[in-house]
Amino acid sequence: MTKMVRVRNLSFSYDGHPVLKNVNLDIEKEDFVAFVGPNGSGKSTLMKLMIGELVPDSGELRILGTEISEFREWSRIAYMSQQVRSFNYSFPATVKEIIAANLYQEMGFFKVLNKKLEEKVESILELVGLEDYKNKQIGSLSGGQQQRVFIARTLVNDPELIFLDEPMVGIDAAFQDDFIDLINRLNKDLGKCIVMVSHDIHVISKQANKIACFSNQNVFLHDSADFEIDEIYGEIGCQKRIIPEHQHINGGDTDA
Amino acid sequence: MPEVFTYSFMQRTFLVGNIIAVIAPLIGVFLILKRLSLIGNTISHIALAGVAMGLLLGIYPVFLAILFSVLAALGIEKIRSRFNDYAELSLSIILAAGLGIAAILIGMLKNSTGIMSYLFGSLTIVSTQDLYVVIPMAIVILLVIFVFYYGFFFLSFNEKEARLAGIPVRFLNLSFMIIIAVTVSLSMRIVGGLLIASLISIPVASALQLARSFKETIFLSVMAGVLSVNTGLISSYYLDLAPGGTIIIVNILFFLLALFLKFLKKRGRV
Repeated sequence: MTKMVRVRNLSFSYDGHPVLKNVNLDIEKEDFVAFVGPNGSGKSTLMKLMIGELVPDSGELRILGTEISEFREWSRIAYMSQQVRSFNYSFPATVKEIIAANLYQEMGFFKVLNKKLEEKVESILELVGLEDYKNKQIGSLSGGQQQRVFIARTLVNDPELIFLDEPMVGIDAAFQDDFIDLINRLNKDLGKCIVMVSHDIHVISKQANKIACFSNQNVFLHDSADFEIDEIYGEIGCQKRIIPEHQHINGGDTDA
Repeated sequence: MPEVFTYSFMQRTFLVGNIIAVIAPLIGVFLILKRLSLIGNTISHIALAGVAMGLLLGIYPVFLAILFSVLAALGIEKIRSRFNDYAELSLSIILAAGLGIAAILIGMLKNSTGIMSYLFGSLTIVSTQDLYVVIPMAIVILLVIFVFYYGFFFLSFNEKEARLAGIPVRFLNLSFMIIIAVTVSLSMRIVGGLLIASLISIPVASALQLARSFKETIFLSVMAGVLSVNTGLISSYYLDLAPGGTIIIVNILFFLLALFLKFLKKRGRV
């Protein structure tokens, strides 16, 4: 079966400073993978490499079976960046318009909404509980609501592979649980492959089926069932928001 | 029929004026929301250099204005995508270069009265030849904007994320720059090279005060453009004022009105 993501001996550096060295990683169709690790350990960088925003120095990176440099089927993948909410708040666009724009490839010769696409926008707004906000201006919504709009936008294309970079930052606690539920539903009920960067190890390690630890410019994949979170908490004491450097028995060899 | 519409030169002026009144604010919406309003100003100064060259060589000035400004627009797009941090500085330098060249060429003209109409616009210079250029080009511009509507929308909202939605970012950016260049060159006949940037931006500024969606912003911007151009042309005919200047002043009045309406709307809510 084609892997959703296949990474072999991938290296990347920013201006000569290595961030990732000889990384190997496989992500399967049914996976919900959490990227965890300290700031600057390369979580977001690997994600940006996977969506083609950055180009690796060396190694192989295949997305849905295609080498990333040749990958063109962008509507099959979705990405929500950390900066998704740093837009111009006085931009005069409604929630509907923001989500509709992502349906560009499904629009006909004229890149405008038709009835079928409009219904698609409405059903995705229902999924995130924002059906009453369709015609509100995006800048007038609360931080949590905006985040939901951007999640809806990433989902509207019905992507197979969803990358989320710190999607829970800045959203209220009440919605965080709903959000995790939503991601779980997407993964388990709708069969979407989820890759998510998160600082909240405790929450994420319970939900994800695999944990990718970023450390020493490398990535180590664990089954979340084997991921000894309490042990790690014991080691790092009160610093519960980071992963300390730790040993990995299989040394990052994801084929093992 | 009122006297103003009985002259064939005024009919041509109104026709071209209304076309410009639609396309200038329309592209202005995307330009301003991309935070690139200085581009309109820069290109208009390059277009002036083209007009001056045309007058000097005896070639149809609008053609050379289009040629010069399209080349400059493509250069600007290259600079913008490569050196994003100093894009504004590059624009100022290109603007200065355009004006410098225009000033030198104007100095070389034996009779420099013709250039004045291109600087400030004129009611009487719209020729039948202009109609043959303006009408087809305006149709193409409207078609391109409409065909790629949501693509241009996405690029204005967030250019970085547009690629992942399958939007042809490079192609649309280049097309957009060419559209701006052509619009600016065509508009010089009516409002003049020095004032066209205002017709691109002020109607949009007015619309932004009141619009509740992107579509409404476009609609209100075009409405403000059409109303201001017609009011400006009619009053400049009867009061013998410079049309470009009159159109811009009417636009400023509309903007103040929009600010006032916004103020009333806010107070109404409290």
